[in-house]
Amino acid sequence: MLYIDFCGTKTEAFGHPDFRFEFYVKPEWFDDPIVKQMVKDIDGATVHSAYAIEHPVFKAINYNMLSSTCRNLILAYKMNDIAIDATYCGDKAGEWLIKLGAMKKKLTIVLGYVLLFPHDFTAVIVNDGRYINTLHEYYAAAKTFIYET
Amino acid sequence: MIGTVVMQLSTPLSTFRLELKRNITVIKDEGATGKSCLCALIERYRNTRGTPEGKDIQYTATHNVQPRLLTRGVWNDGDYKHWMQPMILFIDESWHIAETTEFEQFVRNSPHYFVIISRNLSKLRGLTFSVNSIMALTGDKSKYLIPWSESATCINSGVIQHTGDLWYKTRLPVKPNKVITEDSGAGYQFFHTLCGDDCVPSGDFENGKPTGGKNKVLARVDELLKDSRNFVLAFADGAAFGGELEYMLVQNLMHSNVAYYLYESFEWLLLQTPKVYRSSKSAREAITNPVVDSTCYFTWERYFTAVLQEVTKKEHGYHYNKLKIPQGYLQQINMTYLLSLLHHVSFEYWQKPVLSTTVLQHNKEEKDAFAQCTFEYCALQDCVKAFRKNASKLWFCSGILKMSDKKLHGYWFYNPHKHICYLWNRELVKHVKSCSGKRVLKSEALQIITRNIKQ
Repeated sequence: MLYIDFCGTKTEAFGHPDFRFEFYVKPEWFDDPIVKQMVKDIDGATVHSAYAIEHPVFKAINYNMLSSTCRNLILAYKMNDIAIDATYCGDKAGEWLIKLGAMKKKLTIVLGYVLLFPHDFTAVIVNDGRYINTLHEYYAAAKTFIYET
Repeated sequence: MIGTVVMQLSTPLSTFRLELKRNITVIKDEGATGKSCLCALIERYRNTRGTPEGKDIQYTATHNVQPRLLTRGVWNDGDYKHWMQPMILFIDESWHIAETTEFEQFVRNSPHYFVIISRNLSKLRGLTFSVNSIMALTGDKSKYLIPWSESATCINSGVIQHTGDLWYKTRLPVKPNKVITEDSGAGYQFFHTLCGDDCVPSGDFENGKPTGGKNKVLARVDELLKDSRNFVLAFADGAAFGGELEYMLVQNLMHSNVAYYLYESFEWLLLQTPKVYRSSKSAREAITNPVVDSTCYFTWERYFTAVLQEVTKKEHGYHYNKLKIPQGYLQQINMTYLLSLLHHVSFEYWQKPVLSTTVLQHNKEEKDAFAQCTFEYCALQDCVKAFRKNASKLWFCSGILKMSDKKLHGYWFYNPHKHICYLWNRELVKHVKSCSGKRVLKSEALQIITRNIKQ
């Protein structure tokens, strides 16, 4: 289930992956087909191993050079006890966050802006505990907790 | 900072070409577009500049303005306070600098160009920046900035549409029945003259000072949207509305009966009044090619106000005051012209004839009304007299009347109360009577009419 905490009022977020990702990442994560697909969808890059990723612009790169959106999603997928700051994820992450929310028992994200999810989804708003099932309910919650507080 | 700066940073693998028109540019886009890479390249360029290792990184910019990262470390040390030469300062969202009050103070009257990389616009609400300065980085190997509203995310998600200064979700033209103005002074008075009590300001006056503002516009829109019969059009100064863009988007995502007209500022509109625009070169330059010094004008809104004040004082002998609009702008001919500049907005709820020549082409109701209208001949001089006497009742219309292969130019006055058109061309009366309601095309009527009136 996806848990959304707007503005991180009740959750401490993991922070920007630029500063912490490399301390937590494990090379074997990049053998997972789901991670490979994430990297393909977000960055358009092909993963051969953690240290050999074929990027369309930068040619051969390692995991540290992936985009922050991509690194955040990998952390969200692989680590269970952290809340990622999805404010550092672009709108491309929407589809994957919904997928990961459905896959994991609990996935908490902190959002400081209205990330544009591609379709309706189910989530819990941590700020007041309400359940949302549609995009409209998500926007209403975002409006209340980001802009009206 | 004065005017536009174009910077280009190239490596054998990629090129970044950024055109910065305003003192603050915000890059907000989806992931993996190269924002972090740009910052890394700038750091590398600065560290290797002038050495053999730096030969692969080429940098050029207008006036040779240098790029620099305003990192957390530099910020904490306070080194930036000594940077006197204009520079392009890049600030990444993960450094948490742009949301501080110290940063707001630093930006104010600073000679630098700021490029802030941030998706979280709500945290930048303290800063004053334009909706037109929110950009997205795009391109594969050659990267450049495009307006965020034209980015793939915005277009694919259908979150909002953007035509000129109009931000909307429904079909065009936008037909409001409620109007909100950010401005409680001149802007409000202008639209109140047209819309009466259907126009509300974002705030009232307290101790002679307006209490409205950009954030209050959105709250006022929310109030009006509670009634689903309302179609709300909000007028706000786009030059300072950037921080509110996200909230505006959420409103648009939740409601289809709201639109925003974000012109640069109300004074930008007034500068285009024919009398002001024609009489002053600086007014024309301000509209067509604004060159703004950010050390004097923090936002373009202030620049346009200053230009209008200067022009009116020099050329017309009065001092323009934001709190009270001069009566001249409320004259029918000026209002008609200024409203015609607000493209894709139909004010027919209050004032049908304003757009009559345009509407006649599209709107069946209007066509029918025109077909039933009586046409009377009257001499040009009498028309002019009638107009002067009944300025608020009669409306100018103009167009080319097309009949098979024949085209006739005509100008007429329309009296909406009596449903009568007064024409000053006998031949036209004849033709109109025989083909009324068929096809009437718009022409650049107003200038011709103005000329006729002067005669």
